Amino acid sequence: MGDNGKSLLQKLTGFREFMVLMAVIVLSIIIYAFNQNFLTPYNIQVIVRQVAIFGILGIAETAVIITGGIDLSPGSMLAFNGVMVGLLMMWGVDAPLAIAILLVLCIVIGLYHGAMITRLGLVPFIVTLGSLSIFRGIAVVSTQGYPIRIQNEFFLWIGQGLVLGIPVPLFILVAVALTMNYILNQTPLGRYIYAIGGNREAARLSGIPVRRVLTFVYVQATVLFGISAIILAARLGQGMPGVGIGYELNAIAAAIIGGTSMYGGIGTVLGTIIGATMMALIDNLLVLLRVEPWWSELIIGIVIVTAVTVDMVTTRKRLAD
Amino acid sequence: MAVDKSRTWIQRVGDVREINVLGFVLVAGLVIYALNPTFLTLFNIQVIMRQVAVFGILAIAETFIIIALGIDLSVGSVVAFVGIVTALMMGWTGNNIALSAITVLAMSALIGLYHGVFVTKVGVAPFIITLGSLSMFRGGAFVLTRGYPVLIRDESFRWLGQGLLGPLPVPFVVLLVVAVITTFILQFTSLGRYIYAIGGNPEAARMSGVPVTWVTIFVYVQGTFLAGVVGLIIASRMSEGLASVAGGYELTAIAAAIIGGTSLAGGIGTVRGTVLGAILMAMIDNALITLRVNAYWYNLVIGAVIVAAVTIDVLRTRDQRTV
Repeated sequence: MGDNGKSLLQKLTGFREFMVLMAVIVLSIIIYAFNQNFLTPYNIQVIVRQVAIFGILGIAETAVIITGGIDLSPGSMLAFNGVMVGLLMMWGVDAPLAIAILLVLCIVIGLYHGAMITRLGLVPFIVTLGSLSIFRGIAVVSTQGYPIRIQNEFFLWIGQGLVLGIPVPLFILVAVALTMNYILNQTPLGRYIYAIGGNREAARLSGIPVRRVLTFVYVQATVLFGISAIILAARLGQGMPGVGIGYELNAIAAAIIGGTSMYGGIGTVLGTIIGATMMALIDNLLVLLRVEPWWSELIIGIVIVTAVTVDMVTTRKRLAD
Repeated sequence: MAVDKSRTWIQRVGDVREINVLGFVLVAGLVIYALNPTFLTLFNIQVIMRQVAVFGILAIAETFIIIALGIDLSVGSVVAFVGIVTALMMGWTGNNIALSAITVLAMSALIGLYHGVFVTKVGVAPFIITLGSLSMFRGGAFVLTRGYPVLIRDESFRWLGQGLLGPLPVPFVVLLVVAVITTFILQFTSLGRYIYAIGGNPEAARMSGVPVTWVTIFVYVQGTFLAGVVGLIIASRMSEGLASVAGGYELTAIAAAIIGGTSLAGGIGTVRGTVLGAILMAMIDNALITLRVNAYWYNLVIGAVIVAAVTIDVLRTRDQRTV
């Protein structure tokens, strides 16, 4: 493969995640210029916790989108899982056991998604859209709209604690990221996931167990939603039935900004985390600038479009060479 | 039963699916009626018809787009944004309905053009570009109004959203007109054939000379244009522009289309089926209120209905589907 006369800049921007990372760094500098509070330990912790939650949701979506599917349930699962774990602890179940039960519940829900999609052939959009409503509904009905107080010290530490000055959620994010990255890049399972996304029929014909792989993908998604929900509930100190509305779109946006393609077959964990960071930074910027809340929707929308457009244009240049 | 040979196999599959939805609608209707007879009073049916109109027009818009392998997540936000611009324009032009409506519809079409161009020329995924619009226009709506309603002080404008033509609410008549026109386009024009062709196999379509770019742009333009129509209807019904209306309507519209037989894999779908899907969604919406179901159960019921309707449909057409 020859040089094709590419300039140094073009070679650099060939690294997709690099582009977004640059944007993040530039953005950080701009924010700091506007408001010195940006780099205080407290604010950085706030950002880190935000990135942890959206990052884990985004990583979950990444694997799903790589296979050409989608999961619209993260927002509602945040609420449902938060409420469930809160109820369990309220009924006297100890925190570790409550978390374990919750994760098993998430596996079951993921299996339900997988079964509906692979056995009944329902499109992921509809199945997960149904779940978006159903699980939000269960969360609301079981609490009559009231949040559930969580007082378990260990549990709260998960969301609010620090280890060596670093928020616990960051460790969880790193663990999740390393695990998923390993699965996607170093295991046959990961290759199957990319293969299915690239060309499902070809994958099936080459002997890849498409059904099992897809089921796994949706199970890992709901489990990661569960983990993220635990972090969120721990941070809030409450299982709230009203949280997470619209978060599914943020999670998907983080994945897409990070380079995951809706057409399937392309995406990385690192890219998604950078995407999630960018969205958390923008959110933080708007808060620091004391911008009125409704501006954030408008600005996030513009950012998503700009980020993806820039990415498309630079990708085109690369492909044309 | 004579088979109409001019109908392609795609359309015949669509037919089968509609019987499923129709059955579901009738059964659901009977059950709700049995639980509360006021469900079928003229007044309540008119209420349902108004809601069917809103969901239906949006769902038809989505149908065109989904058949052509696209999607539009922005329609709910565009509806709200249009409502506000309408209210503002009415204020600025001294209640000139014609000018306000034309401006707003033109604006809607331009938004669709923006979507279409970005999808075809820049190559951004439809999900993302319309997701961006969902945020931009909803956010924009709030920025313009800070959440406060913008009142429309014109009696005659109310007719669109609140009036009746005989026993039928005006919005429902608008839906019927839209349905007839769009059915005509899909079934009897080359444009319609091109839309199905692109959805079935984009590359093959391109190579057979289908003007893929123009047709794709068209479906997105009609998408937001119809969202603009709905925006006018709702602004008229409420006599105000409000930034928070139509939240989540894009998902309901897409669900209605899919329940009605439109396939996210592209190339399949009918206006008939979509309208039935919209009727189902509006009926359930209304039933929850009529049956005085505890508000907390809404989400649960709607989600369960969507999944059940699509599951039943899939199970019944399993043997007949070739997709």
